Amino acid sequence: MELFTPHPPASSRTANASPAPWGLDAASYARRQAHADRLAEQTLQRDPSGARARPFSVRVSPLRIAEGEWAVLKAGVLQRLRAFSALIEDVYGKRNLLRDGILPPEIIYEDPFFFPELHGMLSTRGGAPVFAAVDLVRAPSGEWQVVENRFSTPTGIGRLLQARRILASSLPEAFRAEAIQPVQSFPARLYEHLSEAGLNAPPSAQIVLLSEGPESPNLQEEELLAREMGIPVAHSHDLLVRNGRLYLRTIEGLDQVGILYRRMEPPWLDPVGFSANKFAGVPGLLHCIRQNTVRVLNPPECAVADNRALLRHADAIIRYYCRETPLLRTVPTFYGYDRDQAEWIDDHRDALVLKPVCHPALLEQAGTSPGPDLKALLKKDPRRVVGQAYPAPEGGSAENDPKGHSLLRLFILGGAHPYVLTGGLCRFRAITDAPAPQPEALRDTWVTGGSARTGIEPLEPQLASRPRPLPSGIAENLYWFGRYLERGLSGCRMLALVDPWEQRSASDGPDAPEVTLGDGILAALEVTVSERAEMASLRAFLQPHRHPNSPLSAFLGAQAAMRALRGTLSETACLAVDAMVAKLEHLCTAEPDFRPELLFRMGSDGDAIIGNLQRTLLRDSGWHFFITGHLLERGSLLSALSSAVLPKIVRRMDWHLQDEADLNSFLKLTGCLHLYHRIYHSRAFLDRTLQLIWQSEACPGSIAHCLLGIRTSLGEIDNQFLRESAPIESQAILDEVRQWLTSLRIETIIPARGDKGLSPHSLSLLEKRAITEIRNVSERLSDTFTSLHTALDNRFFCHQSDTPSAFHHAFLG
Amino acid sequence: MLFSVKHTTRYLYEEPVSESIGELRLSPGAGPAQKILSRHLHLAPETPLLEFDDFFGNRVSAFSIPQRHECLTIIMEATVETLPARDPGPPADIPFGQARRAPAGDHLDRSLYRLPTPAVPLIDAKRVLPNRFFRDSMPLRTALLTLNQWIHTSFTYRPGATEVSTPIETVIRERTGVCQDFAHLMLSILRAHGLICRYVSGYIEANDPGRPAQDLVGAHASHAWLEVLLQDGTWWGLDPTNNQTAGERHIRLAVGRDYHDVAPVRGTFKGAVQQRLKVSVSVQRAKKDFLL
Repeated sequence: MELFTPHPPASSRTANASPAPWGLDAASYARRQAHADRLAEQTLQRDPSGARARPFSVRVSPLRIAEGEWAVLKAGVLQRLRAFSALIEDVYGKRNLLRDGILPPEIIYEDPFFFPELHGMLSTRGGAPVFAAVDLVRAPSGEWQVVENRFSTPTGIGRLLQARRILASSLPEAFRAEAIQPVQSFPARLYEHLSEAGLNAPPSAQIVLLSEGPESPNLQEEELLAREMGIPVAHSHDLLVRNGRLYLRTIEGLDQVGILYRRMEPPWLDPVGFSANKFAGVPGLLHCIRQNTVRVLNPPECAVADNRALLRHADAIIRYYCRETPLLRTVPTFYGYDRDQAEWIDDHRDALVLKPVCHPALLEQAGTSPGPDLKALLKKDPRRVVGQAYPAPEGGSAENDPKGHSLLRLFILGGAHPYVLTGGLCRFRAITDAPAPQPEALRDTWVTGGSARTGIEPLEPQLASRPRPLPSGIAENLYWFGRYLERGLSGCRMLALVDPWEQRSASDGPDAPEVTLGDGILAALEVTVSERAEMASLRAFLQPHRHPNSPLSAFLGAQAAMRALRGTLSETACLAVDAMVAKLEHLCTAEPDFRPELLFRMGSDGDAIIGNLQRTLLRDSGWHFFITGHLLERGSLLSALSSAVLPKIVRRMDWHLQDEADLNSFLKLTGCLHLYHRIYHSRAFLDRTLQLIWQSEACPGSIAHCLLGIRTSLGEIDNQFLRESAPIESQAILDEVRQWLTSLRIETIIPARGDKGLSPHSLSLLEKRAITEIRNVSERLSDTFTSLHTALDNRFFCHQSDTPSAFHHAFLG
Repeated sequence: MLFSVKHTTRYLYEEPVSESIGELRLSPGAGPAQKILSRHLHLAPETPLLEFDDFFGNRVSAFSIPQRHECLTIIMEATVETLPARDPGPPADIPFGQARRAPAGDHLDRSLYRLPTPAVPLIDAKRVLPNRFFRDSMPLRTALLTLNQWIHTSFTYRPGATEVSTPIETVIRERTGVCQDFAHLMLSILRAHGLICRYVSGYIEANDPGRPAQDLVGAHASHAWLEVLLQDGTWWGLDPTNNQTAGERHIRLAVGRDYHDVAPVRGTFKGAVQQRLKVSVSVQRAKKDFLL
């Protein structure tokens, strides 16, 4: 592969194209090309996979395939589909092919894409109606030769549809003048193909696209196909296996999945079913496939047909299974299983196109990383490399006309009535030494003649889809994104004000205000006494992976949630989270002049992120989950802080009468000092502080405000987004707690403001009662947030009906 | 010899977990060397099992426990009759050179057992073994028994010295391991020489009541050894951990290319990371009349 870099976006190819067929001169072509380039760029900008997607341009000179040439191609790829579908069933069935000596067995057995785990399952499910693709290269004679099978998870259909749309917009006169076979109806056909696969599925069971994951370079294509087909896109964590059935987790409950459109390579489907995989995928999915409660297209077994070493035997395979003469030639392919061939590849390595034998990621898993250098891999493990002798390159006639190969990908739907899409994805790969990646040069492929009609193809109307509830995975990630952000931000703010480790050594004794506040911060962040003792300083606490609730850990948690939310969050918000994590990481690990105050700046960065989200996040149910997480975390932190700090302040009430410094610091920690002064226009008093922090709904740093906000968000979710489910039980709990909190009479806890001349004795009695009361209230508030989390987690995220105290492990994890 | 085997696996979680899904390879299979008289697999929390045979011929029991639980217990009880080891006979006396790269014959799938896996890469045996360790002219039997003994004497058996994920290179460097490492090492050397051989999981009777001096190691949990394919299509079991051929006191559980194909319990759960695993294996001689 590395011999090729794509065609530079030169205007040369348009200049070389057949002269002015639609009454357009060279200057018009240049303008049309500029238009097409602009459209391609806009398409890329909309791509949620961002920088991972490969840039492309669409040439305004289409590849034309006339009716006769098309008939040959169509018959040829259908023959291949038949032969290789039979091979897939045979390899996972009786393996007659190997018994009859058509192939050396190691080609199959040593292929990292052959999975013994899938043995014997396909035959019970009645074969493999696949959605396949075949890649071909054009020889100078004009003949198309096969270079690759793509039976596992063919990609490129999205680019094909985009290329057609771009060309229709750039060359409308061509479409009016010529009869070109349409392609836009492909998603509808694919939908039918998928539906037919699930004939035995219950009618309520739906079709779901299983995405490769948020890091996939093909996200845009996945979303385009899912949108056009009216089916949801799911990542593995959106799916769940229960009692041998596959379900989509949504905030409305579990939705059974009958058909899975697989876009992920097999070993990552199921960490239980595949021995080489320990983490990724949907645990138990293979058991569902085995019991036939879900149909997967393409079946994971199909991956075995993509083994490039098989191409050497393509003709024999076609003859063996179809008993026909192969209709399409395959480019000569050599593999390293056999020592002579390995040497041959090595001797001719500069003339051959070298490719890994299977999906490169699987090679890494098998312990032989392909890296960028296949020549090195050829030396290290020749069995992992194939060499292909492509036909002589085209082009090169003019100085700026690069030599290269035209590659054509054709898409086929198998099954009872196989269908070849009348069009294709044509790419030009120039042979060049230039290492810089260039935009991939695509050409729209026109199959002309036949039943085609002139005119610009109308966009297919999207298939009707019922409004779908938010997947639990998105709700859960937004909820945790909110919680982690708040945890990180509050952590930074609090630690910037008070360093619990620095003050430990202060000579003021254990009841010094700063020590008290430090204890409060550590209690809020759930740092135990022994953990604190283990860490020598604030700096140690801040180190990566040192403590699960340190600001950096919290931001890393937010970042992980953000990565799973690509497409839901705006690109700017994602970049800001990345930047914030990088900054904090630098501050914690590398900053030579570290001072706790520097953490304060992180707080402002975090505020900017929340501001960005407020500006850009869609106000759907997901938004309310974000707000709920954000406020729930703040409420928990405030409750813990109240419980740890306020009793100690009360204990020093007499001292406090002379000095408000510790209450001031407490108000500062909670971010409420400014509001206190605005409301009371006085120095800090305990009763007023309690009133503000606990009861004042108008104060955003108060527990009452958090409860109100959560109640409002849950009400919104309930009223607007949950149509078919029972009301959210937590609303009643919240209403009760809010009522109790409002009716709480602070003057019964702290009856006097302390300036009424109390005797030391009554003061001490008062203190005792106040401390107990404050502890009780804080504890009840903490419990409220804990049980609220459990209830939300059970109802919306993990779909458990029983409710043991699951708070702690979820909090850590 | 008649054995009653009880293998208990218990996972204890600090906090309740949910969605436990897994596969068990805990069903001893009948074969030329053993008969299965009874077998029972019990899980707590109780759950129905989906059973199927895998590619290697092992009986797999799949389970899923969606509800929260603080403990998962898996108990396998079986009564197994083992037969005395048969001498492999003339097929073991062919020259080593002839045994290498021998075709897999009618049983094509067995050629899978010659190929490297991530856990058992084909190491450069010459780098590990003493000079001129194997000669093509030596009988296969001698070659295998010498290697069996060499591993036994050159490596130290220390429970807990390695983990499932410890690479074979580390075992070679440290000269220390457990039965699974020794089986992997021997498989690697033999496969590098082109022999077809497979990993066997099972149990071993540690103390022979009749001969108390001959205690075998590897009995505190499941044991591991290997089998080499002979030209007549039979498998010959070798136990490098004990410098023995597999015999009457070995009870076979599952076979595969390496440990990962036969892992007795493989699964995932959702929840807290802290888990404690307790495994206990008991292998007792049973009386036949007791069974009747």
